[in-house]
Amino acid sequence: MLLSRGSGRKEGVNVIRATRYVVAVAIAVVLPAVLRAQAVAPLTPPTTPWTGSRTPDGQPDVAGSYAKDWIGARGPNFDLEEGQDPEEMRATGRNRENFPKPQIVRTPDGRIPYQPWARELRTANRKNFFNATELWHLDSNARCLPMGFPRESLDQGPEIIQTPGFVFFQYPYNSVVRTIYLDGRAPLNDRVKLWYGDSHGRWDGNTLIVEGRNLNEHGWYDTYGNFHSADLRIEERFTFVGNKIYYDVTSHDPKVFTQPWTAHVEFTKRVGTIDEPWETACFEGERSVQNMVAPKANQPRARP
Amino acid sequence: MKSVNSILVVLVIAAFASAEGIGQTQSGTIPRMPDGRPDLSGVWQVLNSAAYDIEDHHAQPGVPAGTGVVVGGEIPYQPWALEQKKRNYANRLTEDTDAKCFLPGVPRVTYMPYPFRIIQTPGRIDISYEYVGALRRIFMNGTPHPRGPIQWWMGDSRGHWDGDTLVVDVVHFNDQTRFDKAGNFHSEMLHVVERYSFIDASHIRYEVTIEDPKVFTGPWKMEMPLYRRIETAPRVLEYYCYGFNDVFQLPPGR
Repeated sequence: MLLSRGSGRKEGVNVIRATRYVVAVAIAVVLPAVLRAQAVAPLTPPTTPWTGSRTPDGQPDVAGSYAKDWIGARGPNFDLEEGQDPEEMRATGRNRENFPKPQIVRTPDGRIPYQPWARELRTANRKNFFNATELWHLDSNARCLPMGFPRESLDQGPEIIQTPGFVFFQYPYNSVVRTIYLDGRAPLNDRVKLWYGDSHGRWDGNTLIVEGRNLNEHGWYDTYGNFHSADLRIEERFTFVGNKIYYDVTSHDPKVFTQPWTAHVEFTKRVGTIDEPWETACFEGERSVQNMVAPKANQPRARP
Repeated sequence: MKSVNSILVVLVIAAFASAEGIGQTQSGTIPRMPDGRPDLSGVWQVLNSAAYDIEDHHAQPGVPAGTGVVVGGEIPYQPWALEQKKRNYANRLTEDTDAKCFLPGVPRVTYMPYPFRIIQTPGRIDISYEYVGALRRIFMNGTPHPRGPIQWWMGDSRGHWDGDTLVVDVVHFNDQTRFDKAGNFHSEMLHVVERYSFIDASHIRYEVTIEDPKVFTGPWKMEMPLYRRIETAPRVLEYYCYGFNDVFQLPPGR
């Protein structure tokens, strides 16, 4: 309003210009504030100093195996927006109302803020998944390909291993090792794309803050077609309180989303006797993926 | 208080963490864990042509010549197995795990021409390989092999220290993996013993004893150095080669 005060009636064109300017400024300044006001309350406790034991190199000692907490959101097959597996609900005839709906996507409506074209593609992905006629209609996990991040870290609890200068997250289901560099090394060139990206971290009190880049565009967020581009950058916060990890991952991908958005899941440290993690081999024994695709298409053989 | 705490942590981590790669090459001493054991942590790779043929071999198109890594020169095959090895050589472009992009077994994964990272803690030593994202967990807590029969691609690894040498006993293999691209092979009776010992801070002597009473007339050995990747900030990247074949099927236009 301050800007429009000087605009007189005689300067009609200028008034319009000024009004446009005011509107633009209002959108630029006020809208983010409105969106912030609409953001849902965080589920993660605030970061505090670490009071527990430390590793020899001074990191908070958080090593151990962790399990995902939420019923209805276990396993590799869930819909990030619903927090449930719609196929499981359909197949079992269960009433989804009877299951708690974890709020994984922390936006006011629980929806991922896709750009319109991206929401359309996501809807198409989902439709294709349930009526697959091409192998690429299936998510990468169904084809024994890597899940990628952040799907892997949203999907299952990690085993955390710490050595000087590193935090390693192992995901037993896919025998995946994620290396998080704490040594401040230079980032990888953007042109290098990886399923699991390049991860750089630092400790702030009880919170491990990780930045992930160099992710390829082939890993979805879930089985049901929620996706990102190869420009995705993720900011993650692993906050360790008691025996819990509060995990928040914020996706920045201006090619696909209208604004950054955050997903939240929680893990609890496993105690007692923990089974040894043994070999998982998926692709080596894969014989069924062709059966998941309607036979009408001329499919290439899975492999020799 | 909080920021002082954070700064201290950053300083402590920086003091310990800035050394990977070129910083670890000072001669004379080998890196050790707080408990005094040798610390094998880091990124390593072989520098030889064993991936193509572990025996002595001359060059072929796409295959560099090489002196072998088999101690004594030749693998002591039983007569039937030598014939099988020849058949394997003939079908190597379709039937070898490297052609299919399957997990390659042990010790072959060590001498694939890709780096691997050793992640050492007192109770377990994990090795994360770039090649097909293979992961080995070597249990160091004194537990025995699980009771078989079990057939795994990468076997079951149990390790212990013999002085400054890491000794890893590996059993429970399947009969699908081979030792190289030249068709050298084993059965599910394979028993592998690996010995990792520092030559200096940047070199490991890697010795392997192979036993398989179904295929060989007696035990035999391989030996080769492992080289530390001494460039600043070495990385193990990804080689998920099965993502390159037609199962992958990327969406058109992307």
